[in-house]
Amino acid sequence: MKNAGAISWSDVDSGEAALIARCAAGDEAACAELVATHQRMVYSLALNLLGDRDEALDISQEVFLRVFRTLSGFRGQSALRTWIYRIVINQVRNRQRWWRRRCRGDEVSLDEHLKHSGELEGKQDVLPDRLLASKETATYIWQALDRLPFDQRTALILREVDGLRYEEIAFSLDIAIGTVKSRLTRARQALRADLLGVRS
Amino acid sequence: MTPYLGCDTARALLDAVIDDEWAMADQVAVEAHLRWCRTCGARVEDMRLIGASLRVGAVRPPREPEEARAMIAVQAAVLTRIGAERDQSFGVWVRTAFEDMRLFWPALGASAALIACLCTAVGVLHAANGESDSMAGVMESTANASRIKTGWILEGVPEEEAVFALATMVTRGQRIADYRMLELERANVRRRDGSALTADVGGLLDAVRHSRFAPSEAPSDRAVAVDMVWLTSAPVSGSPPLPVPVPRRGRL
Ligand SMILES: [Zn+2]
Repeated sequence: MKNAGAISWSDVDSGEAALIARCAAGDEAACAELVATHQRMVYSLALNLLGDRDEALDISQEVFLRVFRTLSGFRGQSALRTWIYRIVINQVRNRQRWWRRRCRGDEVSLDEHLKHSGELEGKQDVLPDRLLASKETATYIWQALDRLPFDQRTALILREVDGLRYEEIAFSLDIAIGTVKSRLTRARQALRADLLGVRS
Repeated sequence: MTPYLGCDTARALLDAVIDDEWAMADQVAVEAHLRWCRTCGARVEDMRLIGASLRVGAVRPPREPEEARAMIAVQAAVLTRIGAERDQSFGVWVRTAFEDMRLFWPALGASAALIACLCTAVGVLHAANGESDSMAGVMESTANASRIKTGWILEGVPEEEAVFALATMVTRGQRIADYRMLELERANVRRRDGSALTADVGGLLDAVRHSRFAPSEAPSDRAVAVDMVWLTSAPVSGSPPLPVPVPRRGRL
């Protein structure tokens, strides 16, 4: 089984390596360039994982602070983008843990979700199977996605939305490639079961 | 011939098909299976629908210009904070280094103690050379002075005379408290047999031991160390020494 750490220095091109070196040396223009280059990606991933714009902006700031604080330890074990993905995921994971601890026993959001799902269920006759990715289907799939375990949900977003390859997902989640495959399979099976439930 | 693939085997490969991460060896077999198996074909279509739905749902209309402003604010905040942290980095580095180096203070203490010991040792040596507080120090200093001066004193001494160099302590009662034989040069020049020499030395030392100095004529009450040379001719019979004082720093 191929491990997540197997990505080599070749993933970092020379331009990126030079930018990293300048940032590590404290070049402010280089730091600004690094943020500008990856900010949209960071924000989008955080938004997809958290579903809240303010939270996503907050996470973005934390992510880049973490990037610059630990950049000297970056050894090209992945592309810079994948390395930043990994930081985003860790920050989101930590925040979710904190959020879940804080909201333990709070069933309001789940009730809201079920109520919302019920509304959708009533609309199943207007959900055409052949219409790929209608807005309604997308809404429903995203709601179903929220019920998945964090690693399954994140693996699927990284694959389907961000287009990461298995080995990049493995590095981002710090898991083996075989584990990536099994999480993607389980996530898709769960979402498909939800989808079949809506259709029937 | 295309290898036959059952549904269970095919399903295990469907994710790789969707994600375009399948091995070349499996490609032909899976494609063949999907051509005739509608169940697996439907499964693939559903998985593609799920993927498409995720991409469609992920595209949120940007809230401009608020979002753009927020991102600029995030960038500015990050750069300001990182700049401030770098400015403090030396202090942070020092603190971190001290936190990490639990043995630093004991090591520093040990080093300081070692330096203190060396300084003390050098000071003691210096004091022994300069101040001559201790009896050993006085005698050692006297010895050094005597060794230096014996040479030029001997220049004026006739060849047939014996020369003894002694280091002594003189008490405040002007008596000799201790002595040490330092030089025994030319002692056998005049005397050809050793026994006679030994008797002469003993007699000389006896005379020295019983000598008494006149009270100090130094202007102050402060005692001073002196180097002196007795020039005496054998046979010794307790004759008064002829002191040649060489004033030195220090006190007796
Ligand atoms: Zn099949």
